[in-house]
Amino acid sequence: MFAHIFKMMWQRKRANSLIIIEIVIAFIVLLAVVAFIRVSYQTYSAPLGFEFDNTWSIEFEPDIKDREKTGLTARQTLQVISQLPEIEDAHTMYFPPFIEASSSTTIDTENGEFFVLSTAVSDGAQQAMGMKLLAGRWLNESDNGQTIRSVLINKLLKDNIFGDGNAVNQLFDYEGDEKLRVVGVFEDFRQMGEFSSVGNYMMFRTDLDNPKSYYRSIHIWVKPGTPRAFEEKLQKLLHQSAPNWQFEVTTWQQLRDEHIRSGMVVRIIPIVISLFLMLMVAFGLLGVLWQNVTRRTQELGLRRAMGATAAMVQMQIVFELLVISLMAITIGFLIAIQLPISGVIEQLTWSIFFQSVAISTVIIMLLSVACAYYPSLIATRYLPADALHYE
Amino acid sequence: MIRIERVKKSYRTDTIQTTALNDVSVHIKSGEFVSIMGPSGCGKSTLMNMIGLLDKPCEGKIYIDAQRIESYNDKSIAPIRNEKIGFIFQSFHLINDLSVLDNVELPLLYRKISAKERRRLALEALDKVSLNARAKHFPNQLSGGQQQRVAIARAIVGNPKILLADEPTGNLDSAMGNEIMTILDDLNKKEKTTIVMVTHDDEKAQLTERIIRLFDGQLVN
Repeated sequence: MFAHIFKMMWQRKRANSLIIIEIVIAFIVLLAVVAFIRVSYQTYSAPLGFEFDNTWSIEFEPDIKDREKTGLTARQTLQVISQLPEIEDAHTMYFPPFIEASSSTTIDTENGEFFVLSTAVSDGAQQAMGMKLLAGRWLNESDNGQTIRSVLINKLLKDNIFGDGNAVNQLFDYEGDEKLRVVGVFEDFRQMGEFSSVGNYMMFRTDLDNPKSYYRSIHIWVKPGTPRAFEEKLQKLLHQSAPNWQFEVTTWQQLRDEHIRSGMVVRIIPIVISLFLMLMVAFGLLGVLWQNVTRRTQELGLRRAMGATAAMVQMQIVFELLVISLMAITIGFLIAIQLPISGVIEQLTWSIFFQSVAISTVIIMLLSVACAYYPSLIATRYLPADALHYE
Repeated sequence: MIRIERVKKSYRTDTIQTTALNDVSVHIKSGEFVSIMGPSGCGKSTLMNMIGLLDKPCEGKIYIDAQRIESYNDKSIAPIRNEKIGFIFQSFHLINDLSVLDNVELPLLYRKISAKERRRLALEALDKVSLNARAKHFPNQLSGGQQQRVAIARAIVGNPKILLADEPTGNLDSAMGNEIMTILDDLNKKEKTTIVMVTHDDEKAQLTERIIRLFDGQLVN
């Protein structure tokens, strides 16, 4: 029976090729959507490397023309608000979490060039954020006055530069002729939030005693249960400390919510468009199959006259489309596999690619069964006598 | 072999109800060659479809080999159609995408028979209609008469006891029509196949053992 069906399909290859092209396109679009969702989910669920509960961000616009005056005002402000009973800890950070801004550079090593993001924080900020130290120590006062600047690097950067070897106290080239000394390795700090890709990161020290230190935000860790109304008290104090500055107080939770909201919008729009396209393909497939099955009504009537049951005829139609779909999926797979082979999309790992292929295959097969089932059901509802005379 | 008792069949459209068969009773014995005649629309094909289990009566009983089958469901009827009945249609109903041999094999696909055995039986059936040489051809490469011979080979490949031929010579010229009648006559005489043939052609009907005449859905003889 299978050989018979394959023979028929081969003879109808011209008509089937149109259906195959339609399914190939649908498969590739679906594969792209599934892979995109899978990559996004993997990125989203990777550990952030820090905690964001009970942390508030105080952003201010410093006067960059007079860095020393700005630094002095910021330090005074930091000291004043640190005294408040509601505040457990306060630190400075050049680029706070959940915003799409960071320092970036390219580090040239023996193992290759690496794109690295970085920020600078005051002593103790890592502990306040609950970051995990894997080797060495955090930055502290002992790093003052060193001829080689100290730096903390994340595990990914350590693996990239030093491989399995020890990184602590090792040096690496930074922006031309400067060298940096690694004093510690932390697990990760995904500063730009859950939707940012997992990448190389390093942290410099902001020395609050150095009048030339420069930063643009203060972050406070409030005691658990501190109400939002505390912001009013905080704002009054901030304005007393720096009357001409504008302060914007936001919780890290709010920054994260906004980051997730905008990240979801960016991801949902292409997904919705793709799903709409899939729906169009499903309707197109349904229409083509309907026409195809209707054209074969006499043949289906003949098969029943020859001894096939309605269920057998229906199964044959569904099976034919499943074989066509598998052929189309194979073609689509051979086209799509060029992406992970070429490595154009870094995040598209083999594991994600094959998972996406499996999910897309199941969806296309289910779609094919659904599209073939109804026209075949209608076709087999005719009595054989009527089907044989169907025009 | 075939017994139709007081069968009624009517078709209803939105506004009109048309009676195709009205209280028709027919008994066809095993090995008979019977023709059904009558003017267009008298119910010949409807009666043929009832006998062939391609349609269901509104009322009445249908017996094949003493089995009452008019109320059987699709699953029970399918093997009876496959094993006991062979069909020949006026418009041949060959599948153009399949070779002559594959067309002839079609009824055997719904039996538990190996591909090799199917092929052997199909070639044997083609031999009976003298078309072995055309086994690899496609239907549209054959003449009308040859196509009808392929249809006959397909109808007899499963060795059915009953052959139902709905105007088998209707689309053929007289020489080809005679050729088909000769094959049918041989099948009746040599294989003892029961043949029921619908025809408009009185000359062809005279070649059969008995003529059933219908008029306005009723028997007239």
